[in-house]
Amino acid sequence: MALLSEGLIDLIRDRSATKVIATIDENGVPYAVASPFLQLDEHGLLVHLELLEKSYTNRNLLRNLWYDRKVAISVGNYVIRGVPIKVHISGPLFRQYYEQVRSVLGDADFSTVWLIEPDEVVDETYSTRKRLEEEEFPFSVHLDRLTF
Amino acid sequence: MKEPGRYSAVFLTSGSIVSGQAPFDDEVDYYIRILQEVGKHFKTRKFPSQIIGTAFTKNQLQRLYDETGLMSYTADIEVLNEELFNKFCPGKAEWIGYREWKKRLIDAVDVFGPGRVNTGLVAGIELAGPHGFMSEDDALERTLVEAEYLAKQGVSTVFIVWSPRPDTPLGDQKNASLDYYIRLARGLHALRVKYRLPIGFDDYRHCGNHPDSDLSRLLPY
Repeated sequence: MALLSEGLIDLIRDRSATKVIATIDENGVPYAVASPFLQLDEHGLLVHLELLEKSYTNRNLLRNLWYDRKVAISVGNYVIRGVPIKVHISGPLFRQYYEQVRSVLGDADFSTVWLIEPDEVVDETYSTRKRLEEEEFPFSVHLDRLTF
Repeated sequence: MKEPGRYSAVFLTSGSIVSGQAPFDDEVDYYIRILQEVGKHFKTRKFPSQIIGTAFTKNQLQRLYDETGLMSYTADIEVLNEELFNKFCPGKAEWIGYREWKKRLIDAVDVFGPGRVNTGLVAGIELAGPHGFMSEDDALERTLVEAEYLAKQGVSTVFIVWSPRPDTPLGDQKNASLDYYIRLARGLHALRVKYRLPIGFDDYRHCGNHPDSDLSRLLPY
């Protein structure tokens, strides 16, 4: 959990914040979709709820799980990279999320609970990235910004 | 069945009842009665379901489809070779026969649709001596040729891994290699890709016995 700052955790918990999950297929072609139910579990794992069994994302996540590939999740100005480590397709945890999804969407079906272990967080806030870029790559600065 | 998120299909399987006006008519009647009772609990006429039964005639299959909510059908041929089928499945050979079994599987596609009809193999038994294939390469090639004949006509083939059990007639036999099962899984999966056969009614969610159908999780259909 220490990897995720309090601010980021608050963002993940904010239902109104846009969350996007990006995966790649077997040819490395990226695919990014909204993950409206994205949340954190009590162990600090990201929980992505996949409603459709045959969706691009579900199939890509499976390949990621089998072959230890990373996914990227965008929340506000943060990007979290992580690895899918487990799926639930039945059992008490599945039922908990199944009921959660249906309480929001009504007559929806539900395919898979994906547990994703975050291993890297990138702060993409422009002011932060700009400061870092200017510190580390001073030759990428245009001179007009430095002149009187 | 009302438990939220718990069940996703109704499977029926049992032994064979050969009696009836035509062989197996009593078994079909029995299945129809059960499925009609089960069907009373659904809002839809059809519901996700599978019978794993013997190779019924087209007339029997049509009754099963028309008179119940049944959506898919499996008749396990066990081994894709006529000589070995006769050897290992004497009851099936006596009552139906290898070629008729395959014909009935193909007939079932007319009733249930492509990708809704399956047959299962006890994979590895085709290598059991002294009557089995002499090499894994030969067994694989011959099995996949027969599976392709079925796949071309809408019938999927899935397998379970044969496990020779002590104190049975084949209990002293050695199982096929892991490599054989991997190649067989890839081969059967490739046929489903080639002929675009969905296997949703018998995939990892519905029957965890088939290593080959697990690969279909990566397919868009």
